[in-house]
Amino acid sequence: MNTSEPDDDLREVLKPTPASAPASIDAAIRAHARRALNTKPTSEKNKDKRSGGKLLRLLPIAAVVVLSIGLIPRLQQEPGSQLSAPMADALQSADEVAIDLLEGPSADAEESMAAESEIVSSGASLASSKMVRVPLREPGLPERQAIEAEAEAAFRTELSEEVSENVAPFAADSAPSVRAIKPEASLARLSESRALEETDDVPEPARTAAADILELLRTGSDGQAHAAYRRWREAWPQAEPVPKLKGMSDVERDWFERAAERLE
Amino acid sequence: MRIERDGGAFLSEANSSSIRTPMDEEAQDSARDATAMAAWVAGDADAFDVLHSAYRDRLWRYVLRSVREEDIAHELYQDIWMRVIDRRDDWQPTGRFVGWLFAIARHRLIDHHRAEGRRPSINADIDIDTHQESSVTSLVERPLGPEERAELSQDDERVQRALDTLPDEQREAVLMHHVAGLTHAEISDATGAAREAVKSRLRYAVRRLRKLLRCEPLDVDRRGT
Repeated sequence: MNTSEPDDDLREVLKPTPASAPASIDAAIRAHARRALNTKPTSEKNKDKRSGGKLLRLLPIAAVVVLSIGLIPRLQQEPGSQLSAPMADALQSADEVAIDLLEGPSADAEESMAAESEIVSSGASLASSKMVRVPLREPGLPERQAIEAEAEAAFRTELSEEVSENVAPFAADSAPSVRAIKPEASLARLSESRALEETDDVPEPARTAAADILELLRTGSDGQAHAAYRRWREAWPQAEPVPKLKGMSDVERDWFERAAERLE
Repeated sequence: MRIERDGGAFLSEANSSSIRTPMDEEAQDSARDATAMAAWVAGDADAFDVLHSAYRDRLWRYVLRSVREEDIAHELYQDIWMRVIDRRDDWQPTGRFVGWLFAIARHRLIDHHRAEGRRPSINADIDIDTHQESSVTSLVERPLGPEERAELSQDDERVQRALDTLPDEQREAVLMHHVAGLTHAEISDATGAAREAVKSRLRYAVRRLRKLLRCEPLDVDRRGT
């Protein structure tokens, strides 16, 4: 002790009474100190607790890794399976972090902590998403019908446009199929704008036959369309084989030309 | 090298007969404590007794003066030693054991005061200019005489009230230095305050205490506590 003499007055006055703790307390303290040598100090116990806590914190990571490895591919392969946006984000994030973890520890401690935090967060998001509990099953009948109808419509539209634009509507050695080369959408456009280009010398039967051809191109059969064309030609033999129609497309012109060739 | 079991200063055989200065004493106490701690952590049960014997009375006085009530002091005193025992692996040999011990005690007392509500403080209303520097020590600031000491020794309540008027940091420094016998350096270790700050706190606190102890007994209730 480094005490200066002038302060002794205060030291004497401030000395409390009793000046010592009870002997029983000191004995208990010493006994505890002896017993403590046979047990781990609190600091080591805390380390153990921290290790246990770390294991607990790793549990959601392990769960997410399992989900990432096992569940995501399965979901992706299931026909008709759909993920909610939060779940998909959580799984995607967890998947990326899981890959990072599997590839090895990060050299940057802060990065590792961030990755751990992120994956725990992803796990929490995943756990909070009820989509995880949606059973993986085949779609029901209404769903299947809706899917098939949508797919069929898309297919028909795509096929029709492909055919109308790229496939020759009239094969060289076969009669043209009006319905095959004139899908509904195209026919609708045609019928709305179509009319014979008005000329004074077109006889009435020819006008009627031309109108029939337009109608049959839209709704009739191949035979009916050809019959109408034959009537048109008979009604107006001196006319050009191909009628002049407003807004006639190249496909339609080809149809008339091939029909005329067959008829001739 | 041996460790004295009675709590006295650790002395090597070579210098046990030399004249010890306060600085030597402090260094030797520190070396004794470090040796005892190392031995105790290594499994020498008797080594703890050295530490306990060296500081039990000093720690007790500090705790009792801090909380006033003996029953509470018993509990806190025992709890502080238990913490020392349970946290023995946290002690760093580079530091002084006494500083570590009183740091634990200080924190325990702070926790106690927080749990109980802050201790009464009347320093805001005390009509004493404790911050006035003077090159000449006034009569009222001189050390207490034998009669005054004897009188005050019989009036512990008055002493306690005078202590309660001190700001917390000054009061803490007074209790550690004048009651527990810590040096300025040891107080610095225990509180984290710079050594010069400790000296300054003590200087103001002592001046104030002497003035108060020479005044008429304080009417604490009238001053708002």
